[in-house]
Amino acid sequence: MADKSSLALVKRFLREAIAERKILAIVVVSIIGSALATLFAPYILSIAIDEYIIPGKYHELIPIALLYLLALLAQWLFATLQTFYTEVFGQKVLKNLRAKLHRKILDSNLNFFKDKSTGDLVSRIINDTNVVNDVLLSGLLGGLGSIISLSGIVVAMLFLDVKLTLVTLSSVPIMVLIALYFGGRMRRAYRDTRQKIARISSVVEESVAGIETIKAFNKEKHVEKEFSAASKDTIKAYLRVAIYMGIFWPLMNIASLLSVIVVIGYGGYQAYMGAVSIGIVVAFIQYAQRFRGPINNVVSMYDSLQSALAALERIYDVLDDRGVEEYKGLNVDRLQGRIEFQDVWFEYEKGRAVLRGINLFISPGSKIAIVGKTGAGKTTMANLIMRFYDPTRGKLLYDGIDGREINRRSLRRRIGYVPQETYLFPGTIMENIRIANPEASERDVVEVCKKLGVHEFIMKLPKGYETSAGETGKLLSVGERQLISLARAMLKDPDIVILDEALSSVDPKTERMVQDAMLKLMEGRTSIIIAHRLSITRFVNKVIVVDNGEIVEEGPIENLLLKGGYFYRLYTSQMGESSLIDISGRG
Amino acid sequence: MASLKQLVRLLRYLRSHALHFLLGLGIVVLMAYTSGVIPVLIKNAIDEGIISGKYHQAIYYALLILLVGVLNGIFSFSGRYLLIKSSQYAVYHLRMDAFKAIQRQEMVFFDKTFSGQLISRITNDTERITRFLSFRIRMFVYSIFLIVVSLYYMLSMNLLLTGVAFFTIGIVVTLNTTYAMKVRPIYDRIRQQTGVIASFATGTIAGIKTIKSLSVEKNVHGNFSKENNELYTLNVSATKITAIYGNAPFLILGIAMSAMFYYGGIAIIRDVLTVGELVAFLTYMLTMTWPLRALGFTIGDIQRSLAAASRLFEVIDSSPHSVDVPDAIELKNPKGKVEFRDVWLTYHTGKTVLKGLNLKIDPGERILITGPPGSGKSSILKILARFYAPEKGEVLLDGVDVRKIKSANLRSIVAYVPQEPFIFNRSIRENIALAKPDATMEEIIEAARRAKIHEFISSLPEGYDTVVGEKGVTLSGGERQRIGLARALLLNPRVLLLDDPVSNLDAQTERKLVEDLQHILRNKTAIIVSQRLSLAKLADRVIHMEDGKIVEEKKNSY
Repeated sequence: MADKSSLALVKRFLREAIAERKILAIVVVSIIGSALATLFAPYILSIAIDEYIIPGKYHELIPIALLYLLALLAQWLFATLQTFYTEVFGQKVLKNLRAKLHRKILDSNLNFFKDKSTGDLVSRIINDTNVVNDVLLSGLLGGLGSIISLSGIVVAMLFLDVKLTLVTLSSVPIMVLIALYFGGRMRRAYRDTRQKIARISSVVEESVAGIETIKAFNKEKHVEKEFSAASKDTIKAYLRVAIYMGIFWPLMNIASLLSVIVVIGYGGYQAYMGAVSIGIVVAFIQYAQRFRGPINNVVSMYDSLQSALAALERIYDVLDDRGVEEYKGLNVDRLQGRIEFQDVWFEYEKGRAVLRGINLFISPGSKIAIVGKTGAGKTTMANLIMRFYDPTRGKLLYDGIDGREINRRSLRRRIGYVPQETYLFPGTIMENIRIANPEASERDVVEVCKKLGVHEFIMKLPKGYETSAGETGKLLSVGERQLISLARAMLKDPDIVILDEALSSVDPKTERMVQDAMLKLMEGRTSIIIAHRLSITRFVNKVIVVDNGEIVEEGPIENLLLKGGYFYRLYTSQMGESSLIDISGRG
Repeated sequence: MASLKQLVRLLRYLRSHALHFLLGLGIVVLMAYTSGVIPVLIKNAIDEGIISGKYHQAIYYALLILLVGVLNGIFSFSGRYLLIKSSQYAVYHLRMDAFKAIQRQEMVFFDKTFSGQLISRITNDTERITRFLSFRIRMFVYSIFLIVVSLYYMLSMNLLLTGVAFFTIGIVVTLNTTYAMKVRPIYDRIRQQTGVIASFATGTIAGIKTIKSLSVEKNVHGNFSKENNELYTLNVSATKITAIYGNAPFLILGIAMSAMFYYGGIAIIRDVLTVGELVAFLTYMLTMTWPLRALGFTIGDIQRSLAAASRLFEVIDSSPHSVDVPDAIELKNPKGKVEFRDVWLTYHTGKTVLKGLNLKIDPGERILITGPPGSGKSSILKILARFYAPEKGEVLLDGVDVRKIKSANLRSIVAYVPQEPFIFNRSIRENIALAKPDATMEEIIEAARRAKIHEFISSLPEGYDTVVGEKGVTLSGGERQRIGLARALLLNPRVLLLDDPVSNLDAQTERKLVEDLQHILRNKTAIIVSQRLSLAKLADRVIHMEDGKIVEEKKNSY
């Protein structure tokens, strides 16, 4: 376990944790204080018995009793300080770690997310940080306390009697062995119960989410059986824990009693021979019962270190990932909106080009539509304009400047991007629109919405602009969500707009609303529409047809239709249907 | 008392394990006795052996301590095992009851209830009850008897010191109970806030593209920090309570032990107490530290555990006893004639979606229903599939009210394909064979072919064994729809209900599927809901709905 890399991991973590020096100092002092105070009570007891009580020194009993009280008070005080400050220290480190991870996720480029599941990332932020805190901070500090008090007990015992100490310690190796043997097994068995419970909850989750299907296909009995099996597994897992714990605790207890018995047997013999005093034997009996806790602590800490290291590794794995966006370069305040693709190639995975030598000039203020089959590379072109990715080869120019030289953030501020799927932040609809431009007032938002023709739709929601986005999650259709996204884009007053038409079905009325809002937003701006429904191509200056990563046709819609090529075929095959939709919309 | 009733009802779930449970409790009493007697044995070893110099007495007591220790261990093991086992089985039955009750619920219930809540009922609440039955009750019995045994032996040694001990126990239990009651709600809030942070982070990841395109990283991170700080503050206040109330018993015990030390010392000098007895008193106080805490926590926890139980009972009680009416029948030879007679339907949101619907569909007839969103067209399918019951009117299948047909029978006749079919986190093969687990591979492939999904499935690296969902392949809306369709086709139903079956398909696939549906729907009664008129060529009749009523109806010329 103590290989170089894990040691380096812990070192790095501790270096970062030590930033909270003041609190750490209090923690260390209270740990030492608490360990020392714990030792004193039995020691004082032995002296009191031997030198005051048995000789019958009645009057001097008060000061020694006060001393005993003092030792116990100190024990309480230090324990309280230790409890509090250890946790505060740990929580501080934990908080910073979580913030760092979140920050990192925000700064990562889109490549970063490709091979990571959301659940896994969230688990790193929540669970792994907790494990690290429990084991590496609370655990290490607690373990430190345990080691100090263990060695303190041994030192104090040695002071009293060397031989008796050695005899008393004979049970320590037994306890260590027991703790080593059962510690890991107990923890694994316990973890197993958590997994079994998680399994139960996923069965419930699935059976609730899929209830319609379950009922429709008469699967109730089947799901019930599955649930019963998962539930029975839990029982088994818990019984295993019960067996391990049931053996572990009594064994530790007996080992601890063994020390007491040895002290009574050997100490009694020594006292009988007059070699040690009665007070010392009493003190040893008290000490002998104090090994159990600290030994258990130290061993279990050692044992859980492995999982803490794994958690730490997973955390640093994210923090050290190099897929970060840089925010360097030129700040642009305003763009004319001239965009140029110069022999742009792009591949998400090495060797699989999605764009192959795109050359495209978009003049300021013009409107273009990109059409083509799914997977042709349309959305990738939008991704490149947004600088979510940079071209693998070739370059993209904005007003003649290479995109790589422009600060991403300042560039994105000038582009209004309306994705297919609108993401709504937790908060109200108002907040969700305003987030695009925090300087805008609520009145500005309403004005923009009115201009786009979205206002009335929002006012129909249960609480108008104050409706919470969470509530609307189930309430709003894809198209309606896109309306909010359009308002967002408009509020930014961007120089360039990119519109990714929603793919899934939108009812005709909303579709028309979305289309109207889109056209409003496009007015006077360089506009790029990724079109799935070709009806919108009627409103653009130029249509770009992409297929398999290449531009196969480009030009005004009339020209392309006259030409009778790829676009013509696409258009005629769809328009027959879309005119039908128009009719149904009127009906 | 209400909570007593809950407790009795909970204990009744022990059923065949009740004896184990009682036996376990009996053993715990024995365990408490063995724990309580050890300090006395140590005392005897000191007084009768070491001090009086009778070495063999010391050895005798030492061996006796070992014996009692071993017995204690055996009692501890068997008591724990029996109680955990019996309470695990009790909770198993409870959990099954709750789960079955959930399954029996009407769809309305699921419209109103968050799935997170149900999961929490079945996992967290049952966990809490298990802990209560196996751990809390065990510690309660153990602590009470340990205190009784300890006080009994103390009383035989010294009255005054016993008084001190008794008084101390009272204060410490009170403190621990207060501690438990104060710290629990904060831990609940910590758990909740952790959930908030988790869902916030999930949102950041899900919305990363939006965040980046709006350049609002700072803003988002600011909000995250706010929640993060809130969690920190909650944790610190929980720690404060732990540090103050959780540690206070040590203070009280310290003072009590000092008092014992002093008065005990005096008593020894006056020869009314022995050294061994003083040590025994001090050992008792140490032995009782943790049981006293457990006692406080048990008392503080009873209310919450019973509340958890009553939440589960509520789930069980709120569900209908059976999905079918007592005199439900089976249709032996279904023809597929459907009739809606003046059907009204109102959802729990208060929206009335069907307002006196009248519609007759002949066996083998195919109907397309169109209309704007919210016009009630999907509700027609759901009400025929009996997911909802009409508040007025009747829905008849072959002349029988669907509510009078056994649900298993009804669902083998009527197959419903929702707009977004639910795909289980399992292999595609299992997903298609959902309603017919014994279907052969040929049948499955045939159904997939007809649903125009076979090629896609074959293109996957593991074909039909590909696992879908979380850890597997994710499917697009269109792919899910077609798997849902394959699922229904495998069942070969008399009546097929399709909710917008082409909504997520591209034009080409749509055209092909429509062609195939013409074969598929032959000789079946079919009701198709869609926005797209391209489906009209499938139908014998097209119905247009608005506001819960049929506004236009025309025979198809095809």
